[in-house]
Amino acid sequence: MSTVMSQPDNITMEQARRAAEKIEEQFLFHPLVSLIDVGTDPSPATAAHAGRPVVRVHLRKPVSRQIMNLPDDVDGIPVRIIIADYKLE
Amino acid sequence: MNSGNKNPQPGSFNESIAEIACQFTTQAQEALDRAHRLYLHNPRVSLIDFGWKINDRDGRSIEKTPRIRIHVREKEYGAAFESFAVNNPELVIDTDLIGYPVDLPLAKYRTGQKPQLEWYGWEAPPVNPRGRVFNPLRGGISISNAFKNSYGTLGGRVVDRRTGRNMILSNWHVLVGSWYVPRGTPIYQPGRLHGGTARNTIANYDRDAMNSYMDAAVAYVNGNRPITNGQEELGQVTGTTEPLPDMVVTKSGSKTHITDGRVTGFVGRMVMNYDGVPRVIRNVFHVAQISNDHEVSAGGDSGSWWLEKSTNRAVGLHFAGSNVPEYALAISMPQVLEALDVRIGPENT
Repeated sequence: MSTVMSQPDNITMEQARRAAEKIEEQFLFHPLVSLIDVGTDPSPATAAHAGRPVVRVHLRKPVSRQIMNLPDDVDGIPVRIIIADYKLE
Repeated sequence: MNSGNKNPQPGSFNESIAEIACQFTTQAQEALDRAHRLYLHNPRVSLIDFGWKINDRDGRSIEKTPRIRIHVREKEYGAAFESFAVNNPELVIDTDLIGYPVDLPLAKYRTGQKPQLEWYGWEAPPVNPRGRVFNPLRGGISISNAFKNSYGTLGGRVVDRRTGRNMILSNWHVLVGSWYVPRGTPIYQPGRLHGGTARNTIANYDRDAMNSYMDAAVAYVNGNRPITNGQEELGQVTGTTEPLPDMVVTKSGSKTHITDGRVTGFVGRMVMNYDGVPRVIRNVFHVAQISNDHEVSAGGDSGSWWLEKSTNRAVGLHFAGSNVPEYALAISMPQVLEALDVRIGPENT
């Protein structure tokens, strides 16, 4: 269950976008990665990050963060995993 | 849903259904969702469901205790399992992660039909109200090009900023779909899989936004039928706006008709395969279910427009989705319009 995200301010959004770009440079063409975006934290809210945008790496199948070598955060913006394999509809 | 029998006879099939249904608590639903998320893509797994425990070693007898059942194609025991786990750790099913009693019955399943091709809209239902001839044209109805035996969705009417002429906006993979499709290719309404032929030509493909990293294209309408800027069952489109976090959106699509969702992610990028060529797609936003029991989208909805539910302003162009879990992906509409040099015009025909 994802948490509800309040409307982030421009500075926070810009930080999240930059963090996402850093993750994209490294992972966008990884065969297990189906999407990288900025959005609602899919894990239960924590006091530190509730309502703030996170970088979300969508994976085609469950793989541990260690195998992917995904960081826990980029410049303080949390990096979360979502399992979803997208197809054209 | 109409179950047909409100008072099942003791020992009957309906009584068994009623008995297991009573056990399907919220905790079980969450555990089943978790099991789908973690293991549905595991190649060992043939099915994940909820039901009574199956005793494989006891003549496949049923024990009436509720379980999340992860059906596996092959099953190792004892030392053979230890060896398998060491060599294939990524295939091991960790039942402790599910948060509910788990059963691992041995089962292989096959379809009773010939395999079907997988692509958008191949599985056209025999009767789909969006698959008929519409006059006037509007968003949310079946279309295809002259070459693809399929259907997608006519997203809606836009106006060419260069010429002022009416166009239809949909996905590249609906209006074009192949790197060899030339400019001027006829667009049929309804789509070919709904019986559309050359007599149903309503537009001709003109240009696309694939070089701007968007699965979007436009075609000039030919005037055979009038076109409105309405969406089937949703009414007029009132403008356009950017997707925002937690925005509630709605769409009218050829396959699932009217569905709602909530925007949970944006500024997304991905690599998607188009006619054998991997392409980067940008400005993607992510739509999740508002409640667990409602579908967001399915094959055949591509090209439909997501609208802000409260204002009917166009937010995005639907192009992809995931079934487990149920998500939809769309491309931010302001960027699509800019890349194609079109605008959403006022109502006229």
